[in-house]
Amino acid sequence: MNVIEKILRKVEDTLHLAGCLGLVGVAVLINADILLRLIANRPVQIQFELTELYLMPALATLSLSRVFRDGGHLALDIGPETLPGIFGLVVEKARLLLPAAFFACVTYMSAKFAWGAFAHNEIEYGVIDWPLGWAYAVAPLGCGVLVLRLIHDVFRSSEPDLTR
Amino acid sequence: ESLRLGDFQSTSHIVSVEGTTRWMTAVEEATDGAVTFQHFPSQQAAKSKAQLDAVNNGILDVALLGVLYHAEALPLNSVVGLPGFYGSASQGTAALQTMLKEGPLRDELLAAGVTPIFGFVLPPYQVLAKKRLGAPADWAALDIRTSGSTQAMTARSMGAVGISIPGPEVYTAVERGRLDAVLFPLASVPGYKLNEVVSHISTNGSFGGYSFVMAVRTDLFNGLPADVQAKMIELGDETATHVAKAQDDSVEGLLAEWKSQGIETYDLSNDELAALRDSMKAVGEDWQTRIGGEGSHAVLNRYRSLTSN
Amino acid sequence: MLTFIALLALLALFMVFRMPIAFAMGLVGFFGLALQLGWRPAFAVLERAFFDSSSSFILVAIPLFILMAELLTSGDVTRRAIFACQSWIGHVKGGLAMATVAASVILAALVGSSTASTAAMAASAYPEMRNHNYADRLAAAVVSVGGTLAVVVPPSIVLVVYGVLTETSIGKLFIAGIVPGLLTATGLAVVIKFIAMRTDQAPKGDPFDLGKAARASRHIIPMALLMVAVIGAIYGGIASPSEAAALGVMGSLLIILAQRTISFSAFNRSVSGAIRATVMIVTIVTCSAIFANYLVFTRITHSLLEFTSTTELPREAILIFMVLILLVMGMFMDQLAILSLSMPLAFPTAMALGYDPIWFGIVVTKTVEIGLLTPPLGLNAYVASAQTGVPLRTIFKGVVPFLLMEVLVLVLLLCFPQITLWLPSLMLK
Ligand code: NA
Ligand code: NA
Repeated sequence: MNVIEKILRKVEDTLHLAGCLGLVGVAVLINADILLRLIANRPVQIQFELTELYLMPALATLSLSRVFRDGGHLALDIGPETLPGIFGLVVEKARLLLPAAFFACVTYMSAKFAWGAFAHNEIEYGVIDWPLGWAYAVAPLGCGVLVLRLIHDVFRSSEPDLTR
Repeated sequence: ESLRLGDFQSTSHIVSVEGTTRWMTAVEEATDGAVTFQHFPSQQAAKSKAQLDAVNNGILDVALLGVLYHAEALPLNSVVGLPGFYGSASQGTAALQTMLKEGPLRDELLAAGVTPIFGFVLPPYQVLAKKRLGAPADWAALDIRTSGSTQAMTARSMGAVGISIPGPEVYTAVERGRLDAVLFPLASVPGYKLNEVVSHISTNGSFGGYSFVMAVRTDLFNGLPADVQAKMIELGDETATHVAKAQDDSVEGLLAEWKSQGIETYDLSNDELAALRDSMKAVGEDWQTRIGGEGSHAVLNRYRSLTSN
Repeated sequence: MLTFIALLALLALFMVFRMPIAFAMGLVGFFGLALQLGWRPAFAVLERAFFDSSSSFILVAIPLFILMAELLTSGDVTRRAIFACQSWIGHVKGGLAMATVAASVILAALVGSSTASTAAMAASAYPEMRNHNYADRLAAAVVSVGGTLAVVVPPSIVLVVYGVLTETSIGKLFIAGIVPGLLTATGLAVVIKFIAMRTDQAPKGDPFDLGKAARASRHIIPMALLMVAVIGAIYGGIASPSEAAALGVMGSLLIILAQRTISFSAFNRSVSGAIRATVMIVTIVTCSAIFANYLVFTRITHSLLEFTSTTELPREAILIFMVLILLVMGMFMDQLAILSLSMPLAFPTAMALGYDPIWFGIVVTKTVEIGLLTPPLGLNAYVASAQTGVPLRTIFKGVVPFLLMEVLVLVLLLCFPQITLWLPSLMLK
């Protein structure tokens, strides 16, 4: 495993861990909300907005790359897995490069969007004032790492893989 | 020229039938097809919160903005959401139209890259519950479904708890007692069948407002021939008055219908209204602090004077 | 129109060459938007695409129900329930297979995902049937077919995704799924009885032992309590479907902690698995929203709706046509991929034809459920095959009689909407 791969994995695993903690956080918050509502008639008021604005986007996007690495993104398997010759090579590269280009666009646009929210101190008024920049920032983070993963895999697959 | 018009309401909603669609048809006829519309209702083109961005980015050319969705870019315009002001759609619409013609509300929209053509409001929000809710004392510690921060503040100002629940889940939540009451625009009640699950509906409360503004991307609007611009605005003014009256009439009809179904539709007494207004004053003050600046003070005063006759 | 067809062909090409479905839809949708509106608007669509589709409270039901299923399975709760069912009716001919269906229903009421359910059944019910000389093809088929019940019987990830994509009440969809789910289970039991009488694929199991059955049944109690708690919380007004999912997670955790059948690493694996499934689903939802956005601007939806409102064809014909397309898609695609590809067009069409959104949701779900069992891509058969080692071909062969029953149930649902709508109308009026 080369250094880049190692670093990339580290980043992916860290983001994945953050996503997992987000899910545990959602489960705990909602249960606390329900229980307090029943027992003390006092909901955890921040629960709904915290979940919707921050936790859901985080747990849904931070692991994008890690899930790709594990082959977790649904793909059809009716076509042939590998094709011979130069055509097969082109298909294999394009399969990674085209999504890489697409997600690079998503990363750029959503990062710009998040940046704008930070720059203008955008706030969602709710139970408390929620800074929107942080809510928007997770999507470009998750997508950005996915771009790195896709590009990395383009180059990796051309070298013989000695680890297998 | 064919303009893409975004809308987050469905085409069957009264706001679309008597407002958006009606205006589009009128403009197409009056301009002899010089301007036509491609209508994208029900958030098809962009989510309700993204309509303003969509106009600026060229995804759309025109959008019916739900102004409260854009409190970030249009803070002063969110004044219409405050409770305790207008008493009917016609009154509120007249006030809004005046403020959109000139002044801070218009300037704010222009600064956001769009030109307001016309605006109108929903009839004021009423309270729907399984018991009669009058003076603030009746509201203490109740779970009230509210949408947005202003309404949450409204609930809180009366000692209740504002709760966000997605529209489609409100029915079950009320039926099963998860919610004690709902602040809702009456015109939208049949859409969510809320009349099936509540027994009391207030008729003359003012628990918040909601405004729509038809906005065109400014550079596009400025490129249109002057007579077309004038036609769009003139027909817009007509539409605003029309859709406001249509909503007020429809509310009358709905109330009569619900009454015949055995629902208690009740008038709040003058004492109750005064007590409510007193409690809800805090919401306006909070709004002013949040927005800040001289502007908010001036806007609030002007809005108060325009809605107090 | 030509561009549209070319882009659809491109989409198919990407998918055949195994580009992840979500990526393919996003790419093609983005490219289509650029052709339709220009590059600047197309880029603008991307800026909040992921945020808009993930920032939704209703969506929390997905990771939470998956987490609940993962916890119950890794905590050995599901396997014990299967044994309990088998101890009651395993002694009659075909009884073990019927017990598997019964256990599938219980499991389905706790688990939202059919692969999770199938995997659990394959790991526990299949060996039991094999030990009692059931034919491979029957045992593996029952396991695959039983797993599909998880999709219709609430809670169901497919129903949640349908609800999210079409903005239909998930609570009502859940209630509506109950009767069709039980109807399917009954149908499957009938098929098993028939096979057991006509062939020797399903011999008798162990003789009935009341003591043993009673002892095994105590393992059903925690699951039954959990089921009552989750469904009761929804219909008792304590929690919305999304919140009830969180209650379910907590309940599952309490059960497996009480049983001492969970380790910290198994808990981690469960959370990680739930995240993985959620990321996959949200990516599909997001990219299909971009694709749907493109569809909207081509005005294809619009023309289609105009066509359906002016056509002389009876609305039943259009509906049947849609169901057939969904069935064919089901042969090749995953359920979520089908939903995300088809709903942008099919849902508004069905609504324009005046069909009930709840009923349509159950019909669509039932249809894609059938797709889980058909070659070439029958996800449940794959899972069962991987878990049991029975060749795919054998499983697909064994599934055939059950498929016929599934289609019969679908036809019943189509002809008699009251089967679906009766319970929701009763409970929500
Ligand atoms: Na289920
Ligand atoms: Na299939």
